[in-house]
Amino acid sequence: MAGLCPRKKSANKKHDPISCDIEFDGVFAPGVCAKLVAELIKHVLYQRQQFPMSYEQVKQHFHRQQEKEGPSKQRGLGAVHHNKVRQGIETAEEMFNNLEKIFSQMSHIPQVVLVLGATPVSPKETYTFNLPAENSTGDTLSLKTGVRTMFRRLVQKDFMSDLKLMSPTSAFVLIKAPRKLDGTVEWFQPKLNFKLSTRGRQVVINLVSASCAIEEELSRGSETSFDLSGIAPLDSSSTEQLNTSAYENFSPGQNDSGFGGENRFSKSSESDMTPMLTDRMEGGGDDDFIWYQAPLAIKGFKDKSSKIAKNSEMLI
Amino acid sequence: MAGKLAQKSAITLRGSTDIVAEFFSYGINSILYQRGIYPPETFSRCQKYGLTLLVTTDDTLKKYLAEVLAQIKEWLYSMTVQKLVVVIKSVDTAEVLERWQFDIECDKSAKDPGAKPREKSEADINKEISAVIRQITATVTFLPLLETACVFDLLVYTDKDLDVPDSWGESGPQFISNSEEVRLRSFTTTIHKVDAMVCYKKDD
Repeated sequence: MAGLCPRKKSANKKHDPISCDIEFDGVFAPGVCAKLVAELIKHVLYQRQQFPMSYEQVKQHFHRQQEKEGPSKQRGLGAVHHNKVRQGIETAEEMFNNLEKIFSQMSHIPQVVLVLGATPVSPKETYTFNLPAENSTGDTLSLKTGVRTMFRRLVQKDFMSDLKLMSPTSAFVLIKAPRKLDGTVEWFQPKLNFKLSTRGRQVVINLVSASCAIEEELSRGSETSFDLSGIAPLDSSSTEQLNTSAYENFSPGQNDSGFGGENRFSKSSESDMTPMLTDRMEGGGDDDFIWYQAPLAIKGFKDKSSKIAKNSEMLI
Repeated sequence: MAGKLAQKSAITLRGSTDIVAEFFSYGINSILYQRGIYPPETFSRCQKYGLTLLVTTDDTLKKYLAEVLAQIKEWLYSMTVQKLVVVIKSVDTAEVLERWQFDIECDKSAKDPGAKPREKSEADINKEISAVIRQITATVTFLPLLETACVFDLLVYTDKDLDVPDSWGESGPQFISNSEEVRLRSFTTTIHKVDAMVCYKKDD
């Protein structure tokens, strides 16, 4: 008689989300916020081996090569690589330009997500950028100040170097922004059914205005749980439309593990919640938010055109 | 097969010296490229540590670096070197604007007669070095722009009473006034450990 044995659990190791707070002594204009997000994306692309050099260096070398050799001279594998590089740069530039546009169109964008993987719903890594709260106050900071503060903190924290090496894959960008389905949002496509996946490595980068005490409290620690008592869920007609609402599938008392985002809330039985800036995600009225996805993914590539240095080639 | 695997994981003093000296070579080239000390068109790409790195094609610079690094290699082997510093200063004013400092710790027991090779794979060491170099690249995003033409100096801190070759001169530390400092990552071969940091003039 065949016996039964307990099904072995998958060997996939669940990693705790990595969180990094970056505090600014002021606020940013929307255009500056868009540029900070673009810089974060460039940083991740390089640090996670999606681009073989920093983004600006890739661009510089590509254009110099084009001036020197001209596109018509590329043949065979060289042409394939050249096209990959060109496509990577062109997609990224289009992404960054459209980021600026959408930031200028929206009253407030609380969150941008960068997903590395074959599809947005099966990520290897997810980078969530939580942006400064709408009610932040303080002096308006320049892009230069923002970039310096941000990268100084990122370099000091340097958590990406400890992550497993990654092969080139696709990078998808999604933005959480106020619902506007009247066609005023260009390029980015609304994704009403999108939910952030809990698969893969989760990294959360919180850009926090130091003046906003609420943001500091919410962004600290990955195991903070949030008491939802007293917050009424949306009614069922709203939840049918807002499939990505933070309150979807919520039943009071069913899940005591805290509030960290719609995907964790409904699916996970574990208490490892990624801290989100919940005040912005509460739906209802003029402030309901939906996900928008960039129609193109930035495709990573390896350097196939430079020579491989031999050991001790540089030394006498 | 087992013998070949053992070779890749066994680090000798000579092997560690080569690895660290090579890192310094690529590291210095990266700094010179990233900070625009030499024109970007004088650099060519190569792949090392799983990265695309920029190395100089300028013959004079190549010769200078090769000579300096040959000496540093000797000091690494004799474990008499403590720091390597890349100083960047303004051509016009000679003011020191940046200091990239690499602190070296040596495990002197590796020099003992009959000392056994250490167990650490080349792949692991390369991964650590790769992280340092990527961090150096990322650091450039927040460093103040070098708005004037700059030159660089290489300073080496050694043990006292060491015979200094004629081609080397004694120098002061060339510290920066009104500076900020950022500690970077380190890597280790188990025989030599290298810590990196950058110090830069505050942007007023």
